[in-house]
Amino acid sequence: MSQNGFLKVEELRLHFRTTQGSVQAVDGVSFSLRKGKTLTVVGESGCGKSSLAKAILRLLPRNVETYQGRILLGQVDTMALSDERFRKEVRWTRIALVPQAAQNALNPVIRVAEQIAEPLLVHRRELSREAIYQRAREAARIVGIPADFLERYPFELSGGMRQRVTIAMALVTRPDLVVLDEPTSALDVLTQANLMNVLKRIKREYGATFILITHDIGTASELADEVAVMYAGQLVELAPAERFYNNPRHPYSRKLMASVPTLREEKALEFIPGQPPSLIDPPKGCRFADRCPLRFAKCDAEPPSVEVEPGQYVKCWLYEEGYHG
Amino acid sequence: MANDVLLEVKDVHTWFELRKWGFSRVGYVRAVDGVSFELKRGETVAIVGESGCGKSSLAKTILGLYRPTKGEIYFDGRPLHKASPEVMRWYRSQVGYVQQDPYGALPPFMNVYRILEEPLLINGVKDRAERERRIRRALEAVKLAPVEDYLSKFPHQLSGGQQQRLVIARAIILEPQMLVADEPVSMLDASVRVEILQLLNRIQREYHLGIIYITHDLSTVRYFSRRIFVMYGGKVIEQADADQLVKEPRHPYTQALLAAISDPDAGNALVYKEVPPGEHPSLLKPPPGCRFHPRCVRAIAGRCEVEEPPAFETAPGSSHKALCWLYDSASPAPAAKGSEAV
Repeated sequence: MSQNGFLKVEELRLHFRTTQGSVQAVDGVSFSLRKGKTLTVVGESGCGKSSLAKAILRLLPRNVETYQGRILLGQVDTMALSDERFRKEVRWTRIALVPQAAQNALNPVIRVAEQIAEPLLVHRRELSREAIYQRAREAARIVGIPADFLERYPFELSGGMRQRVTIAMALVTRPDLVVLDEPTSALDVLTQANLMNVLKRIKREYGATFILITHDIGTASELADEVAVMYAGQLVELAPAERFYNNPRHPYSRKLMASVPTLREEKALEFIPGQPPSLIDPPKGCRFADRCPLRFAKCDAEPPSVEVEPGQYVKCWLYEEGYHG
Repeated sequence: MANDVLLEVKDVHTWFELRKWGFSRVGYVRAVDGVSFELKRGETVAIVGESGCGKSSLAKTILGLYRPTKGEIYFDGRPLHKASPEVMRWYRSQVGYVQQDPYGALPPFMNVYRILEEPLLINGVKDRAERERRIRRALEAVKLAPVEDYLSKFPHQLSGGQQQRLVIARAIILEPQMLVADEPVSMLDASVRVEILQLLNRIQREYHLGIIYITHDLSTVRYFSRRIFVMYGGKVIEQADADQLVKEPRHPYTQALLAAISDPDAGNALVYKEVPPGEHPSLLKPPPGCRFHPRCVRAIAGRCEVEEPPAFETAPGSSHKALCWLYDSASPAPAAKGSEAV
């Protein structure tokens, strides 16, 4: 398996049909991710980041209008698989998901050990019950759930502990990729820091590959190797974490960074005037143009994705060849 | 009136009785357990803490939605803890409340005009033209302009940021002296958050409001308030000027809380954070002594788990105070295991 394209997403599109028209929730998203690395997708509410997670796992509602593109996982193009094969061979066996607010979706009448074991009971029926529970215990240990908690029910656990259960459920099948959708957003500051430590350790010790979806740029930096900034259904910037945090290039990324309050550094906060465009019939050219302080004539046409530094892609006319900003 | 103290909270306790089978009392949830502070006119203070620390119960006690179990609250010199319904009615017109979830706080079946008209009607503004003038003024103050575009809209037609601005407009329409803002920006996106905080800042200056800003997010506090109170287990465990608290936190809990916040920085991915073990204590049976001692790395054996610390000045004469035995200047911390060695 080539290291350089463990996961490759190309021109992924997910549009929904509504009475008002088609909602372009994910519109031409491409990125690739190496094994053992983490991509964090940051964006504000309604930018399509959760839809991206669902598109990768093919967890689609009925009103899908367009679902196309390529998702290469190793050598397999998962988009080409039938629904049945995708369910059997990819979802949860190779790609697992920790959905948003999952800690509140645990079944209240099933013990923790059994919930963690459930994906194996469904997907790995050839394993003996003993082997399955052995692996559930191991997954619990990895995420730091004390052994005596396994016989408890979810309501007896704190929010942070419940979130660990959902992460153990995602890890128990030993998937190649785990998609985490806002795993810490409903948790307290200390619990959040604790959970990020857990994820960091899993990444380091077990070489897990994550896609972390979040609205919080600060928390995103805890785990990121690569950062993707999503705006109105598109990736406007994709860069190695180091480059992104030191020098974001897209005007939206810069504005977003300037709006984040920092504790250790004094800066004047800015906000972005206006609102993101509707995903029903979004503007033809650059989707950020209406709010962009650097808008110029070219922005009426769709900007290309330009590699401004090795590995740093920006979807903006400013970086078209010849510009040195 | 020369008095510039707007709100005085003196040793307020708000306990909730916990009953079994509806009658046998099994204990109290000590949501607010002896909190004291003063708010001056036109001043902003922040109350910071994690969920379950009692900050929202304190807010509701101040708003008069809960009666304090013990302690005294004075607003503009008048006692609220034993106020008559008439005084409470007057008080409610003097205080605005900005809720956390703007959509939940707005009635979905009323349009903007009616939402803003209601408090005026309740408070006896009989003149229709006067009501309309004040509605327009409030909408302009929160930058929902041009006003005509918004008057007939319903809450679901507004974005999250606009909804929160409408909530603020409703809170200031009676021109109160004080605003209680309970997590006003935690449901909003980063770019909108700053806009709302700046708006609150400007409104505070224009209306000369005292604001109590309640939040879990220490990183926004410094941009918004002059003094910070940190709550833990129903108590204010540290208080100081905002900059001072952020730069030199003294209480081990505040230190841990600040250390846990991630600034956007790629270096974060390279290190683990130090997080105190365990969880926030139950308010039903708080630990004896200092409430943070079971999680504290600097706990002094034989002291912290025995005796509850009073508020110590972190430096002589300083307004920076911490509820922590480490700052007991009268009897410096004993050697950690002194009593056990015998």
